[in-house]
Amino acid sequence: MAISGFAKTQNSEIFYLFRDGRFKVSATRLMSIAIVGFVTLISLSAFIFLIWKSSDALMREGLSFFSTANWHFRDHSYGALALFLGTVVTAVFSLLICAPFSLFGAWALQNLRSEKLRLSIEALVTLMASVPSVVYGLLGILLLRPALLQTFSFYGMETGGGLLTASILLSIMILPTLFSLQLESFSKLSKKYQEQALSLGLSRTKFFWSIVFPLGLPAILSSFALGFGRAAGETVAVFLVIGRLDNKLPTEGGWIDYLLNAGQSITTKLGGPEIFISYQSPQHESALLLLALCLVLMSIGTSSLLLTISKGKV
Amino acid sequence: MFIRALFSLGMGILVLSSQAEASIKIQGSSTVGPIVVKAAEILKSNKDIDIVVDTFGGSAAGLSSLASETAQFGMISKEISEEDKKKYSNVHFTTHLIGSDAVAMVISKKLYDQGVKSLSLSQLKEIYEKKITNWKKLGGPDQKIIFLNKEPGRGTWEVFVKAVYGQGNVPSISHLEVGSNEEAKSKVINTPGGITQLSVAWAQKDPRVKVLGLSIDGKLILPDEHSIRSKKYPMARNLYLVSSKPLNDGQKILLDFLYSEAGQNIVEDYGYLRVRQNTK
Repeated sequence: MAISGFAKTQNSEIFYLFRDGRFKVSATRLMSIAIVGFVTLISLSAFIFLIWKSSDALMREGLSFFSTANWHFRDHSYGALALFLGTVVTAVFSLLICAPFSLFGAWALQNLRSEKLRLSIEALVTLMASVPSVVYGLLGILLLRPALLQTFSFYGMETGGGLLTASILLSIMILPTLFSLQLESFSKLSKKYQEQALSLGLSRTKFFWSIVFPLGLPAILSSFALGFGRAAGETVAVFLVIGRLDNKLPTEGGWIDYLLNAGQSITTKLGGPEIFISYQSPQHESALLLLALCLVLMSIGTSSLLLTISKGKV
Repeated sequence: MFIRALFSLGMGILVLSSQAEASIKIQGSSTVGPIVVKAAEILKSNKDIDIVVDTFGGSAAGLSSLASETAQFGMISKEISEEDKKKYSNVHFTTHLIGSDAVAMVISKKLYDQGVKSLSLSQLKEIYEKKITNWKKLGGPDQKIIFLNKEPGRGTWEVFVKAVYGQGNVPSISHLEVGSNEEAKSKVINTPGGITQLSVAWAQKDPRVKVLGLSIDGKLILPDEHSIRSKKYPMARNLYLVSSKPLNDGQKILLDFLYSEAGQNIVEDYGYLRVRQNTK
């Protein structure tokens, strides 16, 4: 918010080369225009390239691209329903798993008496964000997969890798994002209302549920938006634990089987080797790029939706 | 300050471009990978040639990176098929044979000890098409068969399909996908009831996995040196480096090294077969 406030005090004057009847040209001004133009051009052209390349697949496949689960590139059939479902399910489940930990963890930390301990725990969680995702993926293979296989093999888990494993791994990865945003909002609200709450004799639990949580909801939602974006876009770690089974839908063996066993998401499909195989097969390439475009639109969509809900109320 | 920054930027670009000149980029099969990586290490210290090896995407990536000119050598662990020739009709591939290997069907040692010792090609076909889904039918324990399929584009997969289906059509069935040899091996160890296609050399080095024999016309054939060389074993294959352009000096040095006694010893160290049988 501070940044947008700062941006508002600026105006578009910097772009006017001609004003008040005379030229105002300086190296800084030219350079800034050039750089802004360059950045805009790059981001726009990437987007336009995606749309242009993927339009072919969209025309050919039409709705069946989104409504069927038969991705067999050797038969030139591209139905990506299972991929979309995989991405949404892993992202939503990782949020569901992560939400209680981050919410109550942040609130507990906010109420911790020892400043030293609080800061060090906060630093530790923030540091989790800087761990490369491939490291999480390896930890997932080495620790999570065998542990889950042992726990859930009774319920029909076959390999230890699957959508549930991916969701749990993702929930650990998005924890710092959710945690730090929520902690910031909680500490602001605490500072603002703590004295009043104490003077009214509210307990900490009551204080949280009746004041901090409802007032902090916009911040919580925006942290969910960012978490969702990260979870849906994560590739390497998910790639290593999701099992990579194409065209699996919950209609095959029920939701429990679907969650426990291998699946595929958009990112793991794109991260796989198919882009090499698609060489000189424009149909295949176009279908892959359509997937990429959908991923971009999905993360832009959810982020902007949730950010509009939470706009300006922190 | 500004000038200094520009200067260092220029130096950086110079260093980068001079490095790019002397380095060879090689992409492709993870079966051929270790040989070339080892050779690259030796050539790096002896002759100061930079060789970058990337096994992402397997044999298909080896060919496509040659076609898109992002690599100088492709590594493939299969023959160049008619389909490939059609696909890359504008590229002229030259293959350089550096060794031989075979694809084996591999299961965990536990499963092997429980009674699964060999498969026939028709059984393999039925497993691939999910018609046989339990090891019980194949003399093993009551356990679901988890087929860990090499991902599309891997040379291993193509060799497997050619042996099982010949020139016929391969049905489109979704399986669990594994990428490199290392991944296939570790997953078959950790997955109860798992079976995968794996390079024989990789399988034989690890006591935790066992190679299944193939029974053909009632005769059990194991992928040993004799049956691979005589091509009796249906999934025998050659390992190639592929180039699409006239070779430069660095490439020639690498090939000469791989053909030399020392180079062929590396091939053998990794469990593959040398190009020519050692007559010593």
